[in-house]
Amino acid sequence: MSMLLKSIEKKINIDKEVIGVLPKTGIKQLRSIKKKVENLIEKYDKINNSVVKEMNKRYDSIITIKENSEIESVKKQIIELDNLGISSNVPSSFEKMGLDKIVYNLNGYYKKDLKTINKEIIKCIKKFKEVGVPITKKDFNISEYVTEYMNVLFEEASKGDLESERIKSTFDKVYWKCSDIIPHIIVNIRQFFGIHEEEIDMYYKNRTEKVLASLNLTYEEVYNKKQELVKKMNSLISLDGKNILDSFLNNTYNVSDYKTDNYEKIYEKIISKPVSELLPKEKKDMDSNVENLHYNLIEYYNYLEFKFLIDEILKLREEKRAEIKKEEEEKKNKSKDKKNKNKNKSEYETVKEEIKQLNEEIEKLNLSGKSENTKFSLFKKKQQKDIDSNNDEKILERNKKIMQVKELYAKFDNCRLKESVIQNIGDTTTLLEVLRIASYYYGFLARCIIKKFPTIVENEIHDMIARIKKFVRLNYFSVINHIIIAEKKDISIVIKDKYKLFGMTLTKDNFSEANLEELMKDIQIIKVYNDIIKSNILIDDVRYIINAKEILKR
Amino acid sequence: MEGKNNIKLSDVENDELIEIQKVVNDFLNYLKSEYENIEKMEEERS
Repeated sequence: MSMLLKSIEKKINIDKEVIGVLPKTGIKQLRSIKKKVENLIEKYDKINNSVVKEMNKRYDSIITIKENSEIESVKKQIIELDNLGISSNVPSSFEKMGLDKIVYNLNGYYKKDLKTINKEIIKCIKKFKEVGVPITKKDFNISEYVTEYMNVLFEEASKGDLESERIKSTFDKVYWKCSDIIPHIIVNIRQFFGIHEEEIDMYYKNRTEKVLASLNLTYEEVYNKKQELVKKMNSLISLDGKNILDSFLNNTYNVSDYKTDNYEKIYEKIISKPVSELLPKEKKDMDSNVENLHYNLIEYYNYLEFKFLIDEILKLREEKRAEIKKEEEEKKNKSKDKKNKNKNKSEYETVKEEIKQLNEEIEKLNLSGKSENTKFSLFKKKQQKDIDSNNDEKILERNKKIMQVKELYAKFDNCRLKESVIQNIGDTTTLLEVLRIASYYYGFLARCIIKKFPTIVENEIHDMIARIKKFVRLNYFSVINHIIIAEKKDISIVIKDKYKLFGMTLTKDNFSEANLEELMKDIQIIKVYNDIIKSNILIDDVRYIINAKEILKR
Repeated sequence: MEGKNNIKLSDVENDELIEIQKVVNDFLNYLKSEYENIEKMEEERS
């Protein structure tokens, strides 16, 4: 304590004593003391103002610390690489376009309002335009209901009014004629995609090739470059005073954890001896191990959160392998029976053919009973009030087929996913790659999330999917990108054993569900404490900001 | 503001500066409460 605090305390004690001993019996005495207290208030107000002024001055000088400009530059490079528009060969164009998400959202139409549904439809229209295959109102022709509604939606959307009365009244009118209007739209979109799938595949293929050629990089090289940049960004952020201070201000870190004695206590717990016993070189190496362990634990923690998706994908793989085995056996048995061609086809091929056939039947029904070769003669005749019961039956039959094909599309998505799993996942595929494959399929992710968390709400599903996609896309990995599925390893043991070799006292128990967060916090405290020492901010300054913030009401 | 040995506010450590502010502020609150008490006593006696 400096002389200044002592001197102020001494003055205060004297002034307090003076007030205390002064007689307060008569009115004159009271007035005299009042004057004395008034003077003291004035005096100490001045002192307080000087102190607060100095506090504000220090606060401003610390709080205005600027972020290392390199961080923004690295972030920009990562975003640029992430938005290159190059795509993996694993998902189909359907997923690349985001149609899986749109179809998922439209399928849950009964949980949403009309405005949201319309937004999804418009998003879909924009996606087709983006890939060079614009879908127009003429293409929405699977049923007269779809045509009627989409004509209005296109017109109103061009005016920028997705909530117009005309849209609402048209929807209302159409809905009472056909409550399956949204499933009809979904099937219409899927049909259109099916017709143009090859062109869309070419669009993505050409775009990826063009971008990679301009960069003179392969897809893997772009991915690795992004990984390295993420690693660099993590390191820059860790050592950046502004980011460190923000982490304390937003309560990610607690200033009371970052006292030297606490740091030493935790360090001792981790290495089973006082940190002071480490030689400088040993301490440096151990700090580096702690830093690596910190990132490994975060990766492991996230892996545990999303492990259920890896399990589901591997379950699908097993199912598909069993199917293939069964199909092969059937093929062997029926190879003599050449008439039974269909039985030799995979489920994927069979469903694809069934969809094609049903779509043709829908088309035929739409064109039937007409004089001119245009669609919806059924509808036209109705409009002309020339209703004939035969046409009504055909409409009913067509509607039934639309709903059947919708179910088949759902089955087809599952078959596509299984095909992708069997084609892209082998015994030497890493856990990260499995998770990445899972992340491409929106509908699959949503189904798995609902299975795991039955009470989850729609927004939370979307948020979780966004986090999964971000996790696999924008992270630096050093554990799950090395562990292959055939090994069936317990990752916690892999991590524990590695750091035990480097002198850390870790047990399996540290990685249990009950203790993992505590271990992560301990390792984080050591790592962040070391980072602060290497950074451009002092822990004393951080502590000052946290304490002064409350006093200064800033 | 300077102390007996000419220590300036700008020379004190962060923790101490906050401590000074707390001590001064507490005393100011004490003085203000004393002032109110005296005023009450004054009213009662006048």
